[in-house]
Amino acid sequence: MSTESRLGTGSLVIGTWHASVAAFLAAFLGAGDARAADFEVTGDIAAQGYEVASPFGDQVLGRRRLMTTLGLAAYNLQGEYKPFAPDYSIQLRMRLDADFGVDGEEEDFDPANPGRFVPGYDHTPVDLMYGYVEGRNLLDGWLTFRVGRQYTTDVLGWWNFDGGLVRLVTPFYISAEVFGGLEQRGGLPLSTSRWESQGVWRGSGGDIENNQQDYPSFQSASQAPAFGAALESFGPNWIKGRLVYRRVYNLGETFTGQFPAPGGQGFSQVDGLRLSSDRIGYSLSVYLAEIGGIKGGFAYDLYNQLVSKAYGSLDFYPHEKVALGAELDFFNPTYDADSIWNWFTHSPITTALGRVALGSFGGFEATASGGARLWLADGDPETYATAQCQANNPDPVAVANCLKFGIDASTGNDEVFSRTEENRDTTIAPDLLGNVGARYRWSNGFVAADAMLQTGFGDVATNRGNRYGGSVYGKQDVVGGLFWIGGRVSAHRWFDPMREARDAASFSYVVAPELFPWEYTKFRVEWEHDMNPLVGQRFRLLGYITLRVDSNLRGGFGSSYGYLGNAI
Amino acid sequence: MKRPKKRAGRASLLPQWLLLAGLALAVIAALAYGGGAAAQQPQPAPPTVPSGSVPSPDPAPPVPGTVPGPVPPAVPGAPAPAPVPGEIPHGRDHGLYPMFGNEMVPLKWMPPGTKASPMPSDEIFPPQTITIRFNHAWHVKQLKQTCKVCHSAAYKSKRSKDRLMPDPAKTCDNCHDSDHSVLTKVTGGTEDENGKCDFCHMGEGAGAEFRVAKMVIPDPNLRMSHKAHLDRNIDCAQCHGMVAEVELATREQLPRMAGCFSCHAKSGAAQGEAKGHCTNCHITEPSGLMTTSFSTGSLQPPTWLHGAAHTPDWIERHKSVAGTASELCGSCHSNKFCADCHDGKVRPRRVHPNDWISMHPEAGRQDNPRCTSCHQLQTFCADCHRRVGVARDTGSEDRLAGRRFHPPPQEWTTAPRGPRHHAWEAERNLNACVSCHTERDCATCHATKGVRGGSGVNPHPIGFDSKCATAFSRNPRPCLVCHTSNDPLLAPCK
Repeated sequence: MSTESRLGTGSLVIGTWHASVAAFLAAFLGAGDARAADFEVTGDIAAQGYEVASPFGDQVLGRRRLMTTLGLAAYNLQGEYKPFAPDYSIQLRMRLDADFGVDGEEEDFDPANPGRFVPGYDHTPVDLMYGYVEGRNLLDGWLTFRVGRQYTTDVLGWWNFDGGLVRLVTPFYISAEVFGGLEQRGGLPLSTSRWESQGVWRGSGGDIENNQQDYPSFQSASQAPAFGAALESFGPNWIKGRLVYRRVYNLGETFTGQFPAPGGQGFSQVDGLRLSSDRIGYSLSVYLAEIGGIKGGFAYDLYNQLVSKAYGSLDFYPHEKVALGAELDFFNPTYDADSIWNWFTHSPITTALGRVALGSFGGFEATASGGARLWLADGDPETYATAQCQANNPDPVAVANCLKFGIDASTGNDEVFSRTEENRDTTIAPDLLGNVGARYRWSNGFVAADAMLQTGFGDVATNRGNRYGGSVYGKQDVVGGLFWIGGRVSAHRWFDPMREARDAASFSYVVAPELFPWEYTKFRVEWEHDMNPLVGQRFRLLGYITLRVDSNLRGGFGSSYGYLGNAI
Repeated sequence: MKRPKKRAGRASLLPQWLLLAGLALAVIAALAYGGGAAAQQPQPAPPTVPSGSVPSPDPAPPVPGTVPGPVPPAVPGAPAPAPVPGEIPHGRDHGLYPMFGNEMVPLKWMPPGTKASPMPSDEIFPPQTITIRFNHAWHVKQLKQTCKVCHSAAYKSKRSKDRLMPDPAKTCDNCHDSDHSVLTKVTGGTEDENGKCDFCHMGEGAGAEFRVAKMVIPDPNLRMSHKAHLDRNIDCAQCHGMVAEVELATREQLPRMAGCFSCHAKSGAAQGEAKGHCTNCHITEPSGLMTTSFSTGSLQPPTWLHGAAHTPDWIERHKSVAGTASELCGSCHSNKFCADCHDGKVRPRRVHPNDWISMHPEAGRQDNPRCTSCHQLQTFCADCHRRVGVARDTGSEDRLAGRRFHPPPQEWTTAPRGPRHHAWEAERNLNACVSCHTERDCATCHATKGVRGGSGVNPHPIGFDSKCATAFSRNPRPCLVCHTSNDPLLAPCK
């Protein structure tokens, strides 16, 4: 596809986009009988340009990205808002995420450089982030519902599906929730792959259908039925608990064998309904204002038959401005049930941290945490190879040859050795972690700093590298709310013993002026300059526009003060 | 005009930064255990001292362990009355502060929840300017006046912005030798000292030419019906503390959210009127989200509300709160707010600082931050890796020379497993592998020999046999990637 035609496609999408905004505004502003409701139109436009180089230095992507979102909402469709009375609303947000810096090899298969081809790649994808109708406080407060594309957030993660959710709030300190529909999947119309379980590429388009024999690991998108239920506490505010169950199915045909069968039989396939994920989780939080709190949760993967994640924290407030805490995080990667990686030997990542938080002292706050992350392996990397060779042939010469020239790990004594439990005793490679953060806020600005450290120990068998650095950033109103200036300086260093050539120290600065020409409109420009031995100089220019209009021609940016610094 | 002092003394700016940064542990210990009652009861705020007032020639001595407040103003020529045993002291130098001499108000007299929140929220109760000298203790305990005598409007008030201060013509004038019936022509007493304007009013002439300093009590930013509470026999002290024990009532006697929670601790239908939902009390936008931006600052959750204080490390910590109490997040934040970071297309530098593109291989290897919190490994990560030519979708024979990300095959791939073998890395952080490789890459060696085209290297963990039957029955696809359906090795799993 030529550059011209790609730009043409993008222009068409953007043109359609603007037309839909105009149509919505015209419909709402012009419809007199709809004025009882409150409406809101929001939008973001981000244009950015930067370059990404391959670590080998020869491939360079000139990324020219345009991201724009359009949010439309109508609240209080029932008319005047009354607390605890039924109310209805509609909310949706769409997004265009285009990259006009794509070149031919990424979209069009080139036998001379097949590695860069991305099957089904779409450089101007449009997706519906969410779009639903919601009713609340129905049946005297007992019933809430949502229909459409919607998010749910709980111990099983942040998830998005198309369907319905009904919540029943009972007088017995508990609410019951059921939901069902279709999981949002990459390759389906107006969808992204963001919400799928890990481990499977799903997409659509002629590239994947026509070339799947070259890419047997890739799957054509198909619908994914899902359902679930939850019980949640609705009692005293100091305690919050939620038990949730969710199951998702895969549909459609997919290759199994990754290589064509001999004799021209082609690829083997499976088809039909099969499990994608099946998980149950529980979380609990108990907090007492003058003492502290305890929080924890876990998710159990019923397909993998293991705890896929668990966390817990204990907080103690020795003083109204001091919080002490201990946190534990356990994460065992699991994947879509279509993926082979569930059944590869892998270990959980466990992190334990101690934490102190201070503040606020006249606008100043600080936090610090430190602890360890534990990496586990089945066997001792230092001695495994020698023992493996000795198991095949204990003769010293044979062992030396084995270490030098290798062995066939699929047969004989080696298979027996690797399946013997005592040869796979768990070994631990710890990382040391530390984080500090501080922030000082005043009436029209803030300055903040953070620093991190993560480092391993020992030789290459256990040392997984180190990374440390920090940033100072802030923002200041310089012209009475009209013009703000933000900035960030950052220095980091990293080292990976597995890739010593990628050792680097990097310095970066960002300058970001912001203009508020009208009360609820923001223009921001960011100039980023990174410098390190890997890339030399790298620049990124970003322009950002945020708009919001509501039925009272007023609004805001919907951000808490503390988050103004996140983008900087 | 002086700014009211916080209960916890405001720190000076930059120097305290440095002090705190250097002595963090000492501060914790001192604050936690060294201050005793004084540390837990910071200094109360004095009223605004009007311009033109004259400092008392005989201020109260500072209380040990406390920070002396400003010198209380006094009226020239008005001697302080000597206290009478058994009588509530009063006089012109009383009623200027919550406690005489700007002493600290005992915690037991403060509103419930003060221990958790020493000061009421500036966003909910904006700072006030109080230009009245008033001794509640004297009026209530000595003169036997009830709250209702002066604040009768509270018994009918359904809105937080209702004015609940007494009508001086109907209350003050009953005892004081004054006439407030026409506020533009107030007359003060000529004989009785307590009728003089400056007996109660302070500043701007204190009554000369009918001018007194303006009292500023901004509307609270919350929903509140005093009537609803009083109708349920919830008395004033239950929310405002022991105002009858203090002299001047200031912002500090306004309720704390932790105190509200002693009743407003329940949510949902059929659980009484004291619902615990945030928007029961907090004002909202048309969207139903809480209003969080005010001229006095941005509303943020307190530490004790499920650990949700938005501290400098909140980015790292918020997942456990969102995973446990997402409804709490949804009280203030829209879907868009979460999506901007977790499903956004503009890199948040607070999460990915510096030259993240160069740094992220090491960050991914360290699982810090966890890539899968926001990214789909096989699409977001691997697609980009393909675009720049890092990921491997073709056989080694098709790869250009020098395009190897890992150590050489004799260290990384083949048996025996040396210290740099990929098996250790896969076991420790399999997600790092999945961010570049497709199943075919792994099947090349780990699929069974023969039809499936692999080398037969068994990748399964010890104990796999006990799980495989259940897994196979629910989804046979991953098994069939490496095994044919008639593979004897698969038989135990069927």
